Amino acid sequence: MPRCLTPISIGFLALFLVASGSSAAELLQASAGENGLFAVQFGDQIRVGRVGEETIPIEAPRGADIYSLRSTVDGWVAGGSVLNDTGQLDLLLVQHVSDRLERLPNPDRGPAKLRGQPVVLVGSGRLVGLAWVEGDRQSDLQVWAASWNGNGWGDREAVSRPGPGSQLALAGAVLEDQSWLLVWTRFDGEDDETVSSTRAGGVWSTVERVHEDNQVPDITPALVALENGALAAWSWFDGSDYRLRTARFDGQKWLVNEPIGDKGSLYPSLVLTERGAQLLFQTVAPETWTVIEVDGTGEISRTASLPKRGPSRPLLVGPIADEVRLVWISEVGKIDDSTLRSQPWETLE
Amino acid sequence: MGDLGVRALFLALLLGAILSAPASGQIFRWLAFGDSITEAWSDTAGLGGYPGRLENDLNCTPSTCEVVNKGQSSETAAEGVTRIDTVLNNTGPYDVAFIMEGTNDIWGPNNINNVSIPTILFNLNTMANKAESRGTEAVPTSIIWLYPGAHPRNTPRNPLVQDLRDQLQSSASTNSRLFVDQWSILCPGGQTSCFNQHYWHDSETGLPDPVGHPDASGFRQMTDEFFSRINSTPVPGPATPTSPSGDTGDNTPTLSWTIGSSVGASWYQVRITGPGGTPFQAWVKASQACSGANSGNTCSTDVTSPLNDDNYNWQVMSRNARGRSAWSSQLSFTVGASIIFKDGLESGNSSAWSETSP
Repeated sequence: MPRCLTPISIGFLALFLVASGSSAAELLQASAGENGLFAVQFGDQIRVGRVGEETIPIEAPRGADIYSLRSTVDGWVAGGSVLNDTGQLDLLLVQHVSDRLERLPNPDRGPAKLRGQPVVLVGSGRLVGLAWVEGDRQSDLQVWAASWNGNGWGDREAVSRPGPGSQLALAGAVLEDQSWLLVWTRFDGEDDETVSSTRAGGVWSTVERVHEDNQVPDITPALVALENGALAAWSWFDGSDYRLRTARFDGQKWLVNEPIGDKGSLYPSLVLTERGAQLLFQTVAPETWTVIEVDGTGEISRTASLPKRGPSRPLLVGPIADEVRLVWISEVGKIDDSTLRSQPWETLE
Repeated sequence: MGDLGVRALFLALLLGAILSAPASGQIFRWLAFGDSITEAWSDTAGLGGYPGRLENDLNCTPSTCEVVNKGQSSETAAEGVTRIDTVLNNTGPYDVAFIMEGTNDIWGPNNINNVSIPTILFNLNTMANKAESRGTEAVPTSIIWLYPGAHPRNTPRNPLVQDLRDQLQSSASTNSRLFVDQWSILCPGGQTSCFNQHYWHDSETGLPDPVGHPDASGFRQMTDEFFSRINSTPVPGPATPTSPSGDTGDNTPTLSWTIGSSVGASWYQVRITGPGGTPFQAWVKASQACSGANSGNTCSTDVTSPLNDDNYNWQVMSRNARGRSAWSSQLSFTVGASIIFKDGLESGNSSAWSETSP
């Protein structure tokens, strides 16, 4: 049975905040707009909330993280990881239902020491599954998954076998047909590649590259489900700098688009909106946060770039019809309205 | 990337090398490129981290040398891949670039990294390649240990720091690059007393920051290691040009020299001067141009832009991470037939001449 969590005080964890320029608030955003859902981590303090509402602190030992977050019909569900006393890393699963914060049990674990990067899989507004990476070392992680029946987890399902190196940066989504889609980076013995696997009828497909084979890194993929498929975005080294690549999944295969973004296009996230999704990423030259609007079919139409403001990731806030609005989160987990920046959309050629 | 893209990139890098390569007559310049540990926010005010101390230890004056701090807090190696172009283009040329990044890739926001060690290494090597394409000697530097007691995440991640260090050292050897190993200097083996002594602690709470940045004492140790490594080989003497000399029919000749007194040089600059100025100059790595490191061994590089038929002189200068030699003695050569007059007379153009009766 889920356990109830008691919110903890901000003051206690504030002791651990860094009083230097070395740390930044880490933001994870699930959806944008008036009720946009986000999690923010500053130091060891983790809070989850919606735009316009008080954020809720998550009770967790020092060193915990939140890796994925999704809205549900009656709240939200988040997945993270936590280190135990013996140095093992295990999952941290939390859901917020009807104003109650609950700890979910973990799926069965194997003998490996590390288990993390849990991706909560939500279909039709309900938690239906979980995927994560597991292994003894970061260089030998493989991908696992389990289904959720509303009360407990099904058997562990192996999504990928051990490879010649790391399998990292897991992202996932439940598609319209209720199949599951995962993307991650896998070292192929030469460089990191973005790969994917789907689960339909309880069976996982063979892991395949999203893009053509190459000899340069393809890293940190993001994924969002759209009408009749999904869109993935990741950073790819073009011979001089990182640019962004996107690919549309039509339910059967991936269709890779031309690279986009200025030099140093890195760390993309795909945030659900009422119109589809927004792709947010940073660029190094010029130093910006760039937003690209993606419609429900995966078509890219408009973009806007705003100057960076320190190392922290911004929050996308609505309305989004005419312009992009970014805001940053303060150290106490609140939206700092004084940091609001906006920029009209520009149509992409 | 297609052939066209590769060629365009090569031309862009070559153009960058010509425009921003360090040259004789300029002061010797070291670039300190990295993240917050290079930026040195955790140092005592006014001391400038390792770049500031190193410049002081090297007895630099404004007319002799400088160590330029281009650390940027929170930067990952992937971000550094692009920023280093801006730094090299806008504030170069530099003779040497210390490149020390990777801490923010390993100490990320999540308990398992989003980026693998091979990708971090790829990014570090890309930065080094970009420096070398501009005639700057790249000196990869291992990152320091994460402070084990400062955060639960650090002990499980220190093996990654060591893994990156091991692979970086191996890569530096393969690419004939000087390697500075701060990992083995600052708290090797993870001794608690070392972290207490050499890592930054908040003066009010007594707590270290979660990652682990050096304090003034730690920066002193790091500086000593940089100083020791770049002083491990003396400044090289001049090399000795051997060919071309005299007449040559080749307008893209191969320049050859013997190492001579330039033992310990890691780079050479060659320069051709002629009536129209300096039609060719380039920096070349000794490991690519030379057959060996002993004084009798030879080095060579091709002139890549065709020379006009004319008379020329050429010279070579040697350099390592500590300094540059003087230019060598000049060697003269002629492209085309022996040319006495430079006005085209020997190729049939007498327009510059007038006839005078005795």
